[in-house]
Amino acid sequence: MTLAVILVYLALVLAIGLLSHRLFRGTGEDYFLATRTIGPFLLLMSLFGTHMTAFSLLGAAGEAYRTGVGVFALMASSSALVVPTVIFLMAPRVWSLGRHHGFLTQVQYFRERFQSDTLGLLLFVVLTALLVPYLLIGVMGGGIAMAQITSGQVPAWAGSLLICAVVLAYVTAGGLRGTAWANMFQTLVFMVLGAVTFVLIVDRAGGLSQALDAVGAAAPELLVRGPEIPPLKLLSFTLIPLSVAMFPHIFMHWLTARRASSFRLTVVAYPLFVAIVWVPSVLLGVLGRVAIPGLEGPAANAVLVKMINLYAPGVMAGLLGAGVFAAVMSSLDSQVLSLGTMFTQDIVRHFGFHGRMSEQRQVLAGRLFVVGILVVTYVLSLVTRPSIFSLGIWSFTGFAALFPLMAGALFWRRATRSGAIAAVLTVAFGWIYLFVSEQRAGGLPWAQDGLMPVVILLGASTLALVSVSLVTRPPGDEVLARFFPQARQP
Amino acid sequence: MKGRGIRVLLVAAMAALFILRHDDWLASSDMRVLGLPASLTWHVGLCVAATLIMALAAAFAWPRGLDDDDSRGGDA
Repeated sequence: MTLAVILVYLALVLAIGLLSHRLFRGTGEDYFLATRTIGPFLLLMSLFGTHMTAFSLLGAAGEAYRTGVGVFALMASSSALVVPTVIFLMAPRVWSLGRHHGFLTQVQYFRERFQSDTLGLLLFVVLTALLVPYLLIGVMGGGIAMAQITSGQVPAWAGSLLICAVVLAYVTAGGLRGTAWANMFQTLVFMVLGAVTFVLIVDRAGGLSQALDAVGAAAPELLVRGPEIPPLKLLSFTLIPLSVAMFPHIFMHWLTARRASSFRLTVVAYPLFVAIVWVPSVLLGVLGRVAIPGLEGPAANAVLVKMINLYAPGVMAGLLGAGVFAAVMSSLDSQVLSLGTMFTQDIVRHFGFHGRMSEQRQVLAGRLFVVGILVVTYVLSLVTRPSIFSLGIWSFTGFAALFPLMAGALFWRRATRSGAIAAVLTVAFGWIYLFVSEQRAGGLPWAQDGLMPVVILLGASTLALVSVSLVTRPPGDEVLARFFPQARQP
Repeated sequence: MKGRGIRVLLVAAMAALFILRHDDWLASSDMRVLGLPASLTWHVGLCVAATLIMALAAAFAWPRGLDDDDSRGGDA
């Protein structure tokens, strides 16, 4: 019965995505950006659903299981402060530039702003590479959830495959409009079902107070921030949500807004939405330590699903499992679409293949690229078993370290092409070096006090952007006039 | 209060939230507030405060001139 409920849910999402195809206007701008017609509510729901992923539900619960309620302070409250601030300062400006100049992708914007094909190509490679670990979170999370909820009836590999197939189908058919509609539906599903899950499980555990008392007796360290999260770590984590400024899929959603003022609802509701999603996840992870003890390492990622199975089996487990899939797929779809869009626009079309390929073949090339990326991600999900939390943090670290590029492009007229390229190269090589060092040594020695790689990489990329920009020729007046019109100054 | 004054006030309020996020005085507190561990309640409170500040920012400090018909700002 649980499996049947989940399959019905997946069919429903697929239907919404496919039905949106009826509104398709037959243009590239409509397929990729829904002709920039997304209003405030749909924008909020699709942006929030895209940003919240398996990381927020499964990863947060798993990390709370290991380290306690402090994970909310680490990730949730920093996101609640940083993300709306970034959206407030950047999204309406990006939208305005996108509308005036017809940009469809992030790479296009940076390539035009800095007048550099090299930068565009470099960014395409770096953004795609950084997005793979993020995709991996969703594919792995979906597989784990499917296997746990169906008690192994559907193995993790089949669950991951099913989710990839459903997402690929509705993204391919519905484009961004389909993605936005499916995301709105899925965001509502995971928020409502998340709250229902929490109330149901806590009720069956004897009430929140009694359940927390049990945690207090068995593992009191989980109810305090404690020494696991020193002040320097808390400070470092503040920088991680800066990644939202550089996610290609979030950038793409920014361009879909109907008006600049459409973002108002998003910046206001975002902090509250973060609390609504993260509080139940974190608390259920903590309560899981008593209800389901002994989960080690990446196995803790499954604590939320195990709690659902323990306290709410049957149809309810199916519905609640659907909530988990909703969170997973509402991010995966936008990520997949943004990759396909970048490949079609920034590689196939920009580098002249459009002269030799029909429109249909270009779209086919984009879809094949997406399928290829999903296959690579899927294979990686079968052979690697890292913690979802750790994987997410490394992906976010790379994107956050690219933040100075967006800030410089939008607000610093003196930022130059060479400065931008230097910043991206610094992030690329720095990220690889730190990631490999950590994997080889099982940790970074200087990170013991809580200093995170994001601090080093962000500092280095800022230094590279500023110093190289200052010693190279400033952008020409024509470029500045295009990207810094007086009317758009605050 | 003039627009510039409101913007300064909002920036200061947001900066205060970033500072208050470092709740070291609650780091080892086992108190419960509103039924939740004190540190968790504190951070949920920060989320609520951020919502209020963002509501004020959206109403009084929204960037001007981005929509074609709001060159004088504000179209909520």
